[in-house]
Amino acid sequence: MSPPPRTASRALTVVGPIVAVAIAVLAWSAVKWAFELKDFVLPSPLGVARAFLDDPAPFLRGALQSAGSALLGFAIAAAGGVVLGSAISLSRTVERSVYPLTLLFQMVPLVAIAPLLVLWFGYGRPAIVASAAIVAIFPVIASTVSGLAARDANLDELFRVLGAGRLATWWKLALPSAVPSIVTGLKIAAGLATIGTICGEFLAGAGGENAPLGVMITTALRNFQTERVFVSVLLAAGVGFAVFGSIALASRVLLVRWMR
Amino acid sequence: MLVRRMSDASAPAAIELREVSRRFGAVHAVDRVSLAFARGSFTALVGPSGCGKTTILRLAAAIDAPDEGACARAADAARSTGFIFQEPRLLAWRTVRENVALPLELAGVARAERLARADAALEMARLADAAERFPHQLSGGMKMRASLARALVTRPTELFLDEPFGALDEVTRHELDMELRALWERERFTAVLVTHSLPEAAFLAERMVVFSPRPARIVADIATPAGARDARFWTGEALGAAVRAGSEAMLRAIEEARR
Repeated sequence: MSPPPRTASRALTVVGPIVAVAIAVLAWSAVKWAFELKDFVLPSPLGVARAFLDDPAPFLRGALQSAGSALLGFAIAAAGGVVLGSAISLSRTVERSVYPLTLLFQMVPLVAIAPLLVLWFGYGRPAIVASAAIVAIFPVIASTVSGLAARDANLDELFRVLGAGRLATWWKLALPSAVPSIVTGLKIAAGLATIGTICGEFLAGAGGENAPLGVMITTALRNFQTERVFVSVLLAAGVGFAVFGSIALASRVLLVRWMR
Repeated sequence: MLVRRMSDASAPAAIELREVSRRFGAVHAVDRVSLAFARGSFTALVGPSGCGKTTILRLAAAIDAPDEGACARAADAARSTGFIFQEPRLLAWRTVRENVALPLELAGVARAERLARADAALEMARLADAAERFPHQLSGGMKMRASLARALVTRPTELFLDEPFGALDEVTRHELDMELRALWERERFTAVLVTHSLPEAAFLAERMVVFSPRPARIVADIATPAGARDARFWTGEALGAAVRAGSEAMLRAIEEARR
């Protein structure tokens, strides 16, 4: 007897990824075995697991460091992006002069400005957070500007008829109307903040007891400890998922009033 | 004769348009119209689609300014206006109560007081049960009730209505018309209504002002039958006479415009 289709599709969402991971791990082992690759080129899945389980504490500390930097950078990008986006949409002058410049955040490669960040902030967290914020801010600005511009002209007229001032119209009409758009920008920013953090750590991270994942990757590479590189990369992906997931979850709570 | 040129204003005029004209680019929407609205009266502006009656309503409500002429209002410290649009225009992220409280919120009324007054307005619009709901959870008729409550929450001395129930089904429309009329009889605000529907105008208003096709000129100013407005009014003789007079005036104006 076959189970009802709904149960089957639900089971697939759990079993599917597990099977996919299992196949990937098998393929990984097969490639290593077939080409007789050395451990420092491609470690075995078991070797990677062992590298983590032998001494998980530094990896977990590093992941926490990176997650903290990513969240901090995201928070700065979120606040700064909404403020800048609002300033841009409130004033034509600011829109003409500043908005094109914000494209720089998008256009200039992070690796090109990271050395400057080290120069200004020194090695360590401030430069890393700055790099995360710089990478993450543009989608927040863009989604704020487009969300604020897309409001209903009829509601604009309602506020005019009710005698609302510019600031009240912005706070009670334009900004709430823009929330769904801003949230989309924030989700993109959450993913970018993690990327910006790891890149920032490559260039500005400090080693030692509390070395973040980006530093652990470069250190392990230098010492040909490829298993440790793999562990760090997988954890970096985990940090990315966690940061994105928490923002997505928070936005669902925030968006309850906007759901239709 | 039912048709007369101007209503004899026995009550003092709350709003008076004097020779107002309004153009939008090349379009001449209103051409030297003079019209006074007595305090506490209920006037309907009717006319063919696109004739400029909404423009006249907006000029009277002072949310638009005439190119020529003037709009004079009685000096009254307690004066306040409510405006009801064709669409409900509710904020999707606010509950019905918060939507109704919006005009008070923008006027700086404290939260507890404005919510209490919003509840009172919802009671008037018979929507108290839905206070906690969001706009998308309401039917078309309930959304218009919310819009009505929002316009009434400031206890306006003047209420402007721009084809408020045009998008509703016939039954809901009659129901809301009856309630609006009852509200007006109780509150006696100065009401100005734009509508396509001559029966609705005759039912709601004491006075029907009929306009020509664009640019809007007054072609008839008709007193509607006095007396009670209840469900029987819709099928009675009095309504028929008022509608006939309005239709005849409008048709004459349309034929004149064609010539």
